[in-house]
Parts: sequence; C-alpha cells; structure tokens
Amino acid sequence: MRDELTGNRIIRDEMTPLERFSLLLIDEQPDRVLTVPLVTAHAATAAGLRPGDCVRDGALMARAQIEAQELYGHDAYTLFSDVGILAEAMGSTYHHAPDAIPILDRPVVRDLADLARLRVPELSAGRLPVYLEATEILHRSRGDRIPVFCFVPAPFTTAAALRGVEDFLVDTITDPDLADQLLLAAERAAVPLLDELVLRGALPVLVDPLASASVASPATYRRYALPGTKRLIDRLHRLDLDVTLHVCGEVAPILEDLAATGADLLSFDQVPIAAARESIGDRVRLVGNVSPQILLRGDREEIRAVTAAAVREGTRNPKGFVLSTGCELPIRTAKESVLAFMEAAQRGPAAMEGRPPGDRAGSPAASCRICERREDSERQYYRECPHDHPGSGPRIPNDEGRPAQ
Amino acid sequence: MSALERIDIGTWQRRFLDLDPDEVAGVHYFRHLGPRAFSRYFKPPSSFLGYGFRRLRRLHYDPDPRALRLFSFMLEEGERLFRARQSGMRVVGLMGDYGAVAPLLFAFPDVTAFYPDFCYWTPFLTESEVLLERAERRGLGADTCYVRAAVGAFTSQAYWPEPDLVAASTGASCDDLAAVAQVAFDAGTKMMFLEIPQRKDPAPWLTATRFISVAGQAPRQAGLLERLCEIYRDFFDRAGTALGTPVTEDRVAGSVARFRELRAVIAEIRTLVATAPLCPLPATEELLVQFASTHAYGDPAECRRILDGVLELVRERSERGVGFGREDDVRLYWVNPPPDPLLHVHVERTGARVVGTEYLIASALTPLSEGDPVKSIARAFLTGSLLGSSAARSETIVAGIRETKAEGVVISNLFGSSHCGAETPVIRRAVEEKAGVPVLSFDVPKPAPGEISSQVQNRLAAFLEAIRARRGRCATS
Ligand code: SF4
Repeated sequence: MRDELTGNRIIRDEMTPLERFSLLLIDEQPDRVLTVPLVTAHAATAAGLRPGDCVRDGALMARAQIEAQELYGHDAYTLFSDVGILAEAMGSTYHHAPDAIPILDRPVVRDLADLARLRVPELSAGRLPVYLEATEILHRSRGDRIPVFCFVPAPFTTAAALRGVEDFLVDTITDPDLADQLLLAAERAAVPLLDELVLRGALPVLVDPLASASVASPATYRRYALPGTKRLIDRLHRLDLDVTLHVCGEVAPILEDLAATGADLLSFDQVPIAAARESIGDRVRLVGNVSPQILLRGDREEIRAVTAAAVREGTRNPKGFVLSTGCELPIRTAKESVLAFMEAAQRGPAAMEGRPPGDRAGSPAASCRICERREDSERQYYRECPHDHPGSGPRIPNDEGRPAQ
Repeated sequence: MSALERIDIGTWQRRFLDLDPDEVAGVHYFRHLGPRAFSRYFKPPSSFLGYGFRRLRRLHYDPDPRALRLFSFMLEEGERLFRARQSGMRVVGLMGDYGAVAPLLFAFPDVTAFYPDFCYWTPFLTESEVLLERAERRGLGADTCYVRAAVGAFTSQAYWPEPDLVAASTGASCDDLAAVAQVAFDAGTKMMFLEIPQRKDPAPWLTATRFISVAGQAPRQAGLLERLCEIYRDFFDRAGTALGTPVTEDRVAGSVARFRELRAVIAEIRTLVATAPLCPLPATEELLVQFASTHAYGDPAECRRILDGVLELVRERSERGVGFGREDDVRLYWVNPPPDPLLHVHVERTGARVVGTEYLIASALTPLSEGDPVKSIARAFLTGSLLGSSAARSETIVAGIRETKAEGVVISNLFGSSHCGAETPVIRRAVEEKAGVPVLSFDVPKPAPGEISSQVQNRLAAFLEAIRARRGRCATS
C-alpha cells in the first residue's frame, strides 16, 4: 500500500502479543501467527535460574518468564510446568530438587478416611501463593502487552495426583464411586484458584496431561475426565472467558471429546495438525504442536522446517491457530533451538522453504481482504492466507497470486 | 436517606456468578442479527483484565447489574466493530464532530459508527503506553494530547477493522484531532473531511457579519445553520457514494428521532444525578452515559435498552432517597473530565460528587428539536464548545455551575492538549469572576500502573478542604 500523496510505502505497526491474541479470539487475522511455545519451566533455564527455585518463589518465577520472553520474543507467558499444585495444596507431598520441577512423592489419599478429610485448599495453602504472586507481577509489569497464561490442573490430573496415578486408574475400574469423589474434590479445589487467577489478570489454561490416551483409555476420558473439565470450562464461560485446554501425549482417539469440553483453544500433542483440523478445526482454535523432542534434539534446519510446516498446516485451520509446542519445552532445550523455532514462526513458511516472500506455492491461489491490507506489513507470508475466515471478504485471485490492485 | 457502597472487582465477579445465567446469556448487541454466540457482552469487569484492561482492578463500581451492563457494553466496543464487519456491516469512523454526524450516519442501512478519538480512554484503562509510543513513532509526541492514542490504533489495525470510511470534521475543531486525522489519512485510511465553520462571537470590528440571537444559545452569524445543513446534506451524498448506498429521507428522520429519544433519556439521568440529595450514579458510570450521546457506542438499539435500565435505576434510587456518598459531599462541576475512571473514583472517595460536566462532547448532549432532522442536528451542534470561542464556552460553563449549584470547579487537561489547555485560563477567569466559585486546574498525569499521582491527590484534597472551610465561613457570615 502506498501513500497517495507522497508515494511512500505505508508500514503498519507490529502488534503486541496481546493484540495478536485478542484478534485471534474474535476470528480476526493478526499480523503474524501467534507463537506460544510452552516455555514453562524452561524459562528458568533461559533466565539462568533453577526451576526448583522458581517453583517456590513467585518473584523468581515471574522473572524467569520475563527474561525468557525477552530472549525469545514469544507471544505469552506460560506459568508453569507443575501440574501438582492443587494436589500439593491439598496434602500430597512432592519431592523438590533444585534443578527439576517437583515430583509426586506421597499422594494424600490412601483410603476413604483420607478422602473424607480432603478440603478445598485455602489460597494460602502449598505453593498457590507462589503462582498468584507470579501472575500478579507479570500482569502488573507487562500485562498490557503480553497475555499471562496460567496453567491449572484439570480435575482428572489433580485426582491422579491426590491418589497416585496407578491407584487412581485402578479406582476408575474397581471403585468408580471413590474415583468420582476424588474428581469432585479436585474440581472444587480448582474453582477458587481459577477465580483468583482471573482476578489477577491471568488467562486460564486447564492442563490434563494424565487424561491423555497415553495414560487412560478414551472411555475413561469420557466417563471421568470430560465432565469435570467441562463444568470448569462452563463456569469460566459464564465470565465469557476464552479457555485453553492442554492435553499432551496421545490425543487422536479423544479429539472429539476434547472439543466436547467446550474449550475455545485446544493445545494438543501427538496428532498431525491436518487431522485435528479436519476433525475439530471448525469448532476449536488449534494450539500446537511441534514436538519438544525436535527442539531438544533437532538441528536448526530441522527445527525450522518442522516449524514452517506446522505454520503452513495450522494457519489453514478455520477457527484459527496458535503455533506452539506439543508439550512443554524440556528444561535443557538449547536456547538456539527455541530461537530457530521463533525465527521460523516469524518469517513464515515461504521464507523458511527458500521461496521468495509472498510466493504461494502449494497454497490455494487466493487472497483475502485482510491479506491485501497486510501486503505492506513486511510479513509477507500472510499473503498465503488460505482461510475462509470471517471478514476476509471476496477473494480476488490473479495470475501472480497477488491481490488485484 | 441511605448510602450505597460501590463494590470492588472481586465482589462483582462473585455476584455476577450468582446472576441468572439465562438472563446474562440473553443480553446481546446487534440484535438485528439474531442472537449470536459472539454478540453476548454482559460480563463482570474482571473478564477484561486478562485482555489488558488493568485499571479495572483498582476501580470501585456501581453494584447494580443495570449499571454494569453499560460498563461491559462500552468495554466491548472494539470487538463489536470487528463483529460488525464480519457480519457484513459497514464500519465508519467519525472524528471531531461529537454527536452531529453519528445520527445522520446511522440512517444508512447496515452501518455502525465509532469515534477513533475516544481511544484516549485506552491508555488509562489499560495503564499502558503502547498506543502512545506508536503515535510518537509517527511524529505525535507529548506535545499532542492523549487523543493521539488513536494513531496507534489506526496503524496497528488491532483495535478496529479498517474503516470503510472515516468522516473527520476539520476547520473549527481541535488541531490535535486534525493531526491525528492526518496520520490516519497518511496510513491509507479512506477519509472524508467536513470543513466545519467557526461560530463567531459578535464584535464591533465584524461589521460585515450579521449576527442573530437564539433564546438560550450563544449568538451566531446569520446563515451558519444553513451552512451546516448544506455540509450535512453533502455528507449524505459523499457517504452514500463511499458506502455504495443512498439514504432515504425516512431513514434520516427515523435515525434522528432515535437519537432525540436517546438524548432525552440521558438528559433525565443527568438531571437526577445533579439534583438528588444523594448521588444516584457514580461519576464514571454517568460519564459513560454521557458518551453514549455521541454515537450510542455503535449500536443505538441496544444502547437505548441499556440507558432505559440505567434511567429506571436512577429514578428508583432518587425516589427512595438512596445513593452514593453523603449529603454534604462537595458539589463539583468538572470541565474536561478525564478518561481516567480512577480519578473519578478518587474524587468521590474524597468526599465530592460530580454534579455537572462540560467538555467537547457537550453538543451531543443538547436536546434535538422536532422538525427537519438535518436542521435539528445542525442546531444542536451549533451549541457546542468546539466550534466556538473560549469566551462562549466559559459562558456555558458559568451557566452550568449556577444551574447545578456547584461549589467548586475542576478543570483537568490531558498533557499536551492544545485546545483544552489554551482555554483553561480563560475559563478559570470567567468562572472566578462570574460564578464566584473556586477553581482547581491540573494536568492529568500520563497513564501508569498504580494509584493516581500523589501530587494530584494532594491538590484535590486541599481544594476540597478549602471548599468545606468556605462553607463554614459562608454559614457564619
Ligand atoms: S485538546 Fe481537548 S479537544 Fe483537542 S483532542 Fe485533546 S481533549 Fe480533544
């Protein structure tokens, strides 16, 4: 686009991550793909801190996130790796080591008597204050520019951490009542934490790694995990919040169930993006799913190629897409690898595949009004936008695949 | 008399979850599109925090859902514009006219309007300089008022969709607004400029100009009304071409009639707020009511429903003698009330109530007369402050102070504001001389996280103290 009077090229301003995210949520196209690798505890490494220290100190946890974001330039803070926070606040004990995130040591529920003693934890219990403080600091310091995603374990994952994963899975078969009561306690425990996080400016992400098909059967997911997760999401929807659900591991057999929770964004792991798009992409914004193993072990070229492919597939999702990793980054992921991932995300697939910017090879020959408007933005790859997204207006293909003038 | 308490954001969140979910879910904007999942907008302030509206954490709110609905309607306006575009409506920006063009524009079918200028609320509501930094990079720095925030919104295209058209009033307007309009134009926005003539005051040296007097209004040049009407009729032609739809006389009459009724509702709310022994609506909510007069937040039908609810609430409270604060709160008249709700809340917390306001949207608050709709719009616009002299504006303010029995006047300017800043000394002098009430003027500090500046707090406290002391002196003398 050129200024009619001066002929100067008009350059749009780059959006902030929060602006990008806000547009995505209203079915609009941001200036580039929203990129949120699950940095979580790796943030500590990126900031030269120890994860074990960060999970005990809200200020450190926030500092790790801020420094990691400044280093990588990703589009949201992600607090944090530790899916046992509610169970720990309810009495399960965790082993803490300086260089690792806490590991479940002794589940609190051994028998029915233990179950009867379970209470909704105060917000001062366990390490909940650490999360609340970190959220508050991030929102206060950068919450006008960067979304603060806070991970809260979904009921199934908390129940497993209250009882021990194996025992809980056995309960689902041998003692469904006990399993139901555990789930209910876990669900109730999540409510005040979610409410308080919202009040501190967080955008809630429900995480349910232990409910994936790698751990539990699809039938178990439907019977035990889905209802409580759905109720929590319904509750957040009453506040008109957009909720992300993250389930890592194998999720192909439960994709429809994950969509049935009502989650607005689904962060998923081991399913090809195209398959997720085909099955639920008309209802849910997809968040994924470059394998963290690629970032851990792959070389720069491989990371860039895989990331570019994910962008290519993901940006075709009708409800929108957030480029992410399928699961959280391993703590020891090299910084250069994360930077290669970010570079691929920001330059777009065409550039990554060695084609000139704006080249649409492999894309439907189409443009949309938003792509046309973005032509000046120097982020050329949205000219590949193949979406039939609302607001895209009439498509005006021409020979070069460029918007008609 | 009994006092109501404002509630904090956490309390609103809890209470909101106790509201009937079906009732909440039934509240939609753009109802002509049918209820859509996206058009639900009624939510507590906490729902906006994660999306950057950080100031909301520090505020205190009217505890009634009818007032909250207004708040959420306003905060949802940005999304509403994108949804309008997605639903096939045309999106038109209006700049610098305040209340004149919007009722005319809404006569076009499938259109919505917004004021980019009102983006000056955003840095305060978000406690953020993102938009101001962008404006600075485009050459509009601290010597332009915070209305420059609109530049950052134009250039990022993250706050509203690219408008189908922006109709910007220039001429007798503010040069800060003109600067913003220019940057929007340079950024490729499709603009239409309306050259607004100045309303002059009679002066001995204006021998060639004939002036006329109209009851209750400042004198003006003969023919000015007709000139404005011509401009607006021309607007219909040009906008019709730009939007690809002509407009009919019936639709114009219908749209102006709707705004006439809307302004009548707003006028009644304002009167009750000024006259009830206890203030029946907090200052921020009342300001939001006033801003509705300009463009009905882009959805006149829903805006009317909301304002009817607020009017009902204010009437109920007035009849029952229920309200905020105390009967002996200091009665303040606020010139250029700032777009910082924390400042409003602070003023009320320190024992004052706002009984009247005057600012550049005043022309949108003027009642619309019956008869020729275009003339009625033009007539109301001619009463505004922006196109007239500072002396005429001072007269309006003095009249407002007398009418509302205000005990003190606060003039707050945004840093860098040229028009408002330049008028302050003139207004101050007129108020002190003619209304005989004390004046406090200050610049509104740059938006920043945290409480408002201690300097402003101290000056306000001292000012209110002086007014109370004055009361004592008046009583003894
Ligand atoms: S100086 Fe006053 S009139 Fe001009 S843009 Fe600022 S607030 Fe509006």
